[in-house]
Amino acid sequence: MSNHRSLSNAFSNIETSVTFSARPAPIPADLRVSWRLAALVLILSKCRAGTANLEQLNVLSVALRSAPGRELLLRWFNEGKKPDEFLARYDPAIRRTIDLAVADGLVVKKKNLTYVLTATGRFFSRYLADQNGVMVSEKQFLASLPSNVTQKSIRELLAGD
Amino acid sequence: MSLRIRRLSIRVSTYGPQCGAEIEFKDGLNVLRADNTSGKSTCLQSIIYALGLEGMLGPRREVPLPHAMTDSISVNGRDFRVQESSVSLEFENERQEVLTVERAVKSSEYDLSLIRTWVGPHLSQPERAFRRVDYFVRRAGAAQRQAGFHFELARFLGWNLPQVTKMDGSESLLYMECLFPYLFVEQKHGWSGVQARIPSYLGIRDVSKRTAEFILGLDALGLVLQRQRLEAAGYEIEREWQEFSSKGVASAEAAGLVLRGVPSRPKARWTPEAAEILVPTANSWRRLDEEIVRLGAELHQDERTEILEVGLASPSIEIELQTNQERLISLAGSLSEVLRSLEQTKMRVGSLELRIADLGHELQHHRDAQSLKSLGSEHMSSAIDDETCPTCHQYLPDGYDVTTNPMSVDDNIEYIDQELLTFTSMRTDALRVASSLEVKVRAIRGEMNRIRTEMRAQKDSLVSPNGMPSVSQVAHRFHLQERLSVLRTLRDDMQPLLNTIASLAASWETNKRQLKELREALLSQQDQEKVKFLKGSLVQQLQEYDFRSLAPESIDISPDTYRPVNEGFDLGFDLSASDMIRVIWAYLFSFLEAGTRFGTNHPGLLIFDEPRQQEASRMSFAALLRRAGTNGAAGNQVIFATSEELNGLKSMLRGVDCNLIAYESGMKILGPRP
Repeated sequence: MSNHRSLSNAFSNIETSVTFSARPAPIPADLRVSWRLAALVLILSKCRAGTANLEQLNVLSVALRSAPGRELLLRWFNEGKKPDEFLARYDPAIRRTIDLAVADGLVVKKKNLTYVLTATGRFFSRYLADQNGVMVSEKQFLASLPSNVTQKSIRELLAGD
Repeated sequence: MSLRIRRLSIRVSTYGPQCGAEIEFKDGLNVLRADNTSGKSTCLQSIIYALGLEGMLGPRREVPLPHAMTDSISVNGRDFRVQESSVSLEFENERQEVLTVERAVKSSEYDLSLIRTWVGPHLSQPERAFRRVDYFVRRAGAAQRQAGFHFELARFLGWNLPQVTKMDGSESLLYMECLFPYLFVEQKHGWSGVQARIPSYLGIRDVSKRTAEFILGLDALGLVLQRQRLEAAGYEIEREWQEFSSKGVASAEAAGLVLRGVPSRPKARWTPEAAEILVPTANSWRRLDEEIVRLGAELHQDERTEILEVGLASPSIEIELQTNQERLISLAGSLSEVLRSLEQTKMRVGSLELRIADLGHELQHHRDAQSLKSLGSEHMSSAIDDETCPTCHQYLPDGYDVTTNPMSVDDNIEYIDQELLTFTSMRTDALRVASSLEVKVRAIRGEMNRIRTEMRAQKDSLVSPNGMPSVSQVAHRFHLQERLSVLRTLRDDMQPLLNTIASLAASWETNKRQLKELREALLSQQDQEKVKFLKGSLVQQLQEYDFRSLAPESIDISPDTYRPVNEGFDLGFDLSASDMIRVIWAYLFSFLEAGTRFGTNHPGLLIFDEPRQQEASRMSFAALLRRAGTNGAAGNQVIFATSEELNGLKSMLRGVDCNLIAYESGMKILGPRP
């Protein structure tokens, strides 16, 4: 208490003002806009007809981000789920990523709450696929999934809960 | 050092006429004039072939001479198949010794890698008998072994070829194929750039610099090699250091001890006093010397007591048994504590490794984000490029979900790198602690086993017949002696090892100091003069040859490559093709002239195959011829082969001292011989 008082007295006696500068904060790379948009476009290009609903996007987006997540989802598709395994099905950033993508003309929202890649989006995804040094693990993961991941297959996978 | 070509002889045998050419070269400037495709280049390439230097023309192993010498030759409109063909070359060195060499181009009798020589002017004076020696060429060892032709050629030229470092770190001789491009510019590729055709396929590191240093006879060459040797020696010291220090650590661990104070990488000024050998005790660590003293005292004490008969010893044995029992319990307690610490440390290591792995992935993601930023911006996303919302255009930084002031990608990468560094050191620390704890565990377990063994012996003693000596006492004394012996042996073995490491530290210090001195050594006085002369001659010639692309005075000689540069960049990009030709003329002549002015390794010979004067102008060519003539007069030999029209050539050569070897228009050089 007395410390607090003496501190505030000390400060009020100083003539210059104290400034605070906000230091930039480090953020996880998968929150960066470039990464998120690229990931979304790559995921959509893997889905059947370049189309996916929110459930698919959430699950695939979460799985894509980390090595354990990728491994888990692949194993589920190939061997089935074990009783004590789970994968988070919610990516908190996905809605904002979708919004950005829609605003940028990469993705279009359809009436039945599905999202489709536009021609621009498809072009972007092909361009990304061609770049050899970028997002290698993520691209490999998507390539190892069964071709054309559908809404049905995701729903079935999660049905066991 | 000098090399004067005296006579060239080409022989082509067919089933019809015997063909060939015989050309005599004189001192000074020689100009060989003949039409294109008349065989001029064949003659000059034959000189290279006779000397076994076709490796300078390219890595392919074929004979670089045309069909007329290997397949069929056309005489007066008729084609004749070539049976055999060969080239011979007679040349002279500084000491006026003459050597004649002959090499087959096509032969059923002689191997193409054989060079037959006569120690004397066999071509000019064929009637005399000269000593004959055979050499091989184009095989491994041609420059190092006495039977190799390049070994002999180097000796003949007075060249002491230096050892240089190759790209893979090994050493080899500076091959002649890398040096002769300063003396010979061949028609097809030699004019494509300054030093265009110094072979790089031979794998010599910094080959342009090494060859320039050798040709100019720079002191710097010796220094470079010295530095490379010192660096190699440094690596060797480091390797040995690591070998010995791991050996020390392993020996200590094998005896259940820890060696501390030996750095994993060499350090200057390290003495054996800095090393510590520690023995684990129940609660702490003790230095080896202290432990040896303590054990010695304990043993001495023990040896002073008699080994009693069982009957007499029983009461004390029972007390000892009880004591041992208590010690065992207390040790078990210590052990479980140490095990718990060890477990915690291992868990810490585990979580550190998870964090480090995570950081690794984060780093990769950020690198991806870095690449994506540049890619994505080409493809229409304003969100990525300008950091603005595509709809409302407000500021939308990366990670806007969680912060308004994110780090830039580059800064974030640096941040992650820092974290990685911190966590990696933490992990190293933790691993070190874990391994010390493991040594401790082993020690405690060992001690517990020993006590159990002693207890068994004591129990045996208590139930054995009264007259027997107490086994337990014997065992105890034996154990003390053993342990003391192990520790003493280790100490004695460790000392020479530590001394070796200390001497390595001294070598390391010396090595580093010598390297530092070398690094600070500048070009010697004479080296600087030579380079200055090189530049002066280059600039003067460019002015004479009417060089236009840049101001000649602005051209410098790079201290790193000894190539001509302008404002730090190699010439070539901003020059016209004809000016590039002028630079090549001037550059090679400047080396020749440096040889005349100073003593260098340049043999005083320069051969231009078709100097491309049609791309430069007549005036430039005339200036070149005059310069060549002056050089010839100064004692060098210059050979030009040109298809320039004869009368024009003659007028350009007026007033120039020159040996003109002219073949009329339409004449072929390789023709029927008597």
